[in-house]
Amino acid sequence: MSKGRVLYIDDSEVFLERVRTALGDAGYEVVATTQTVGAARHLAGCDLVLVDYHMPGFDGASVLASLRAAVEKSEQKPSFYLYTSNKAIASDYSILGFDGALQHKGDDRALVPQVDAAMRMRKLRALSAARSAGTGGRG
Amino acid sequence: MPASDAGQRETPAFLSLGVKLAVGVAAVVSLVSVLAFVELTSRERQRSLAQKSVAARMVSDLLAASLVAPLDFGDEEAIEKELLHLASNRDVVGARVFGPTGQPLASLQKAESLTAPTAAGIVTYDDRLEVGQLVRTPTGKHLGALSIVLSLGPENAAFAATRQRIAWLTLLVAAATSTLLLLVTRRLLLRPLSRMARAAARIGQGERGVTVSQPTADELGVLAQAMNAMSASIVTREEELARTTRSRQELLDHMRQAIVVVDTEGRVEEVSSAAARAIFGDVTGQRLVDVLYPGLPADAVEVAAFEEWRRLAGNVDLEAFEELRTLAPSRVAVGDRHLALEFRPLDRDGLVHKMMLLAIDETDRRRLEDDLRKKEEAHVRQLRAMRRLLAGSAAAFVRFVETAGGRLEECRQAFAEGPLTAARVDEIYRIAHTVKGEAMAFELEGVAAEVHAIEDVLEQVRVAPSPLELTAAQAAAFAGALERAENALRDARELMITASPIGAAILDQVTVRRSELDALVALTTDGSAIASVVRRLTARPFGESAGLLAERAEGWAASVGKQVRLTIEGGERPIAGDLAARLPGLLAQLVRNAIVHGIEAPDARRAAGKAPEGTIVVSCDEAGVVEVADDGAGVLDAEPSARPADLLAGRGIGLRAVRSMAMEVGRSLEVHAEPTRGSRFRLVPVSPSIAPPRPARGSGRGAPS
Repeated sequence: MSKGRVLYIDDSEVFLERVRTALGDAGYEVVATTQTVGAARHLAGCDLVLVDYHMPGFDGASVLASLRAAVEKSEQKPSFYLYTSNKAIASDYSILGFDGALQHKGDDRALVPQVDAAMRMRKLRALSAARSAGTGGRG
Repeated sequence: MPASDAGQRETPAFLSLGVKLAVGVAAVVSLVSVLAFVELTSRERQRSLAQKSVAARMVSDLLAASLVAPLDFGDEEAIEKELLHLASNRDVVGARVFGPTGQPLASLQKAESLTAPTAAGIVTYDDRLEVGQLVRTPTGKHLGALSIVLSLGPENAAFAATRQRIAWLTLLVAAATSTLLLLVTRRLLLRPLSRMARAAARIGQGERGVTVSQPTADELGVLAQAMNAMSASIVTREEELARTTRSRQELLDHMRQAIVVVDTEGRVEEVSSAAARAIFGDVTGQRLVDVLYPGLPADAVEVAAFEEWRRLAGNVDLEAFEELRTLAPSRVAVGDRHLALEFRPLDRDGLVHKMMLLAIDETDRRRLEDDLRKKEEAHVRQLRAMRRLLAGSAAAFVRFVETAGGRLEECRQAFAEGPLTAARVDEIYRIAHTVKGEAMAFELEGVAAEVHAIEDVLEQVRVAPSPLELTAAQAAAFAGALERAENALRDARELMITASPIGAAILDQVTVRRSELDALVALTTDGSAIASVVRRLTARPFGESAGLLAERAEGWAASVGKQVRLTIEGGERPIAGDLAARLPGLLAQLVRNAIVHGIEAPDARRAAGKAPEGTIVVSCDEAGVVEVADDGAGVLDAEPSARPADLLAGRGIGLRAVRSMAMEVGRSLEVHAEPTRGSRFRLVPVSPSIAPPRPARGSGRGAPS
């Protein structure tokens, strides 16, 4: 059983394959694409979208904007995370419109616990929102 | 009053029971003493006055008797004389005689204030007695009266002295009584109580085995026994508690889990086990998120997710906690350690007020798994490389394995023969270099690396002055590298056999030109001895025809959502050349049919109590019978159907086509199916397993090649 569906957008096919392997081995269903244009068609059912910030001809923010526009009408919106080794950019994730940032640490296996945490955070936020709305949770 | 208010009362200042007793005893004794003093003095006074009254009565009676005659005769002179007799009595301070009508007739000393008494009697004053007496004749005739005043001075002086003695005596008795009472109380009550109080204090301070000696058979003795029993009971309970605590701690310490108790604010309250101390150290008071994610910034997603979970999971009821439990982190890497985490709630009144973290160090297991995974990946990689290698030039590789082994043996012998010369070292170096080059050509990196180590040793030797003298370390390094290179070569040989579809038979293969073989076949006569040898020469190992199925079958199965493991048995057995040429197609058809129609989908297999991965065995037995057996549903696709075209299973041609193909090479197709247990497809020779060579195409004999 899949732990969740992840869309990963990066211009590097090498990274795409490595991330696909790392997350796939960890039990995630991974859709990886270098195509920033048309990536929105992969959004259906996605829990998490990882976006590389620096891509030729695009930047993460513009990709994010197009993706967010595409999911505007969707009932279940995915969480959007930056995936970058640049700490300065990572710290500005909120300004850039992302829900969070995952650190690119060079070791692809280090991505798995971050994706795990992002998935948990997504569910926790949904639960928290439900409680605030008085529709779920106890205590 | 509520208990809490009562508990907040100020503790009264300590006042010793001894002081209280002393005050009480003093008060009681004083009261008793005063009462006794008053009583005694009163009685003394009464006794003194009574004596004085008797004396006064006697004086007045005597005077009255002596005045009867003077008064009867009106002899005032005699009256005065009689009065004067009183003057010698020093107690008489005054006297007066009255006539029958109460008129004063004579007076002595201070008597002017005296009046005639109307009846006999004594009036007592503080300082005197006044005695009134009527004077009558024996016949009762009233002659007059008299009054005498007697001083109480001597009695008062004596009484004062007596009262002082009584006072002193009372005081002495009171003091003695008080002292005695206090001494007795102190000895019998206060001291034992003090001993018990001190003992209770020692027990309260945690001293063990405290006892009180109180041999008396009274309430204090009973109290002391109760106290000793209490002390012994406390010791027993403390020992029991200590044992329980020790057992708990030992239990915790022997558990593999690191146990940490955390409050709802996320701070570590207790590091409860030896494993926890070994993994985390003493982190009491620290935030758990800092312990689990040291060095990560607050906005790191792992930190944020944990804090969000902790915020939601604190102070919820147990049912809500269960829902949240799956959202807690289950694994974390702390430094070099990999930990599996489990959070459990500690509730109070049904609400989570603390959490217990159980962490298991999985570092060794993870490391082992990583090592195994890497080795497995390396093995698979090498196996694939070897298969590619064998597919290209198996004979060349077999020759390399054989010659490289010989060359390494040459190196060993050359190294061992007599003193080393530069020429011999060069010779060994050249041999080794050749082996390394060939090993690299065949992608045998392990062999190449060890031979490279041999070269390193030889490089060191070559720069040494002649005659060459090896150090013990160099000799050992050479011998070690040589042995490892031989082992690596041996491993490569085994891997080659494993990867080879024809198994160990790969080592016994030679490359022969087919045209030459065809020519040889053409020259033989059926039934002759040489024809039999030629037939065997044209035969091919079964595994050669079936070898590629193993990897392809997995892909075919995956394309239809199934899982299959295909094994080949009898790969080294020879099959006739014509059959070998057709067999790959036949086997592929049978295997694909088995995958599509025989093997069930993983869910269906699980439901049927089977492993999700189906098994297909492709074999060749000694009689040359080729069989494809599966453990699927036992359902056959025997005849063409109207089913849409299927790239994998074909267009429904099915077994009829297979049977037709088989007949062309002298085989019949036998089909056995057993529902739910699987199917077997057997290609059985209709003539000897290694059929006589048939005329080659063009020459009219032999199989097409």
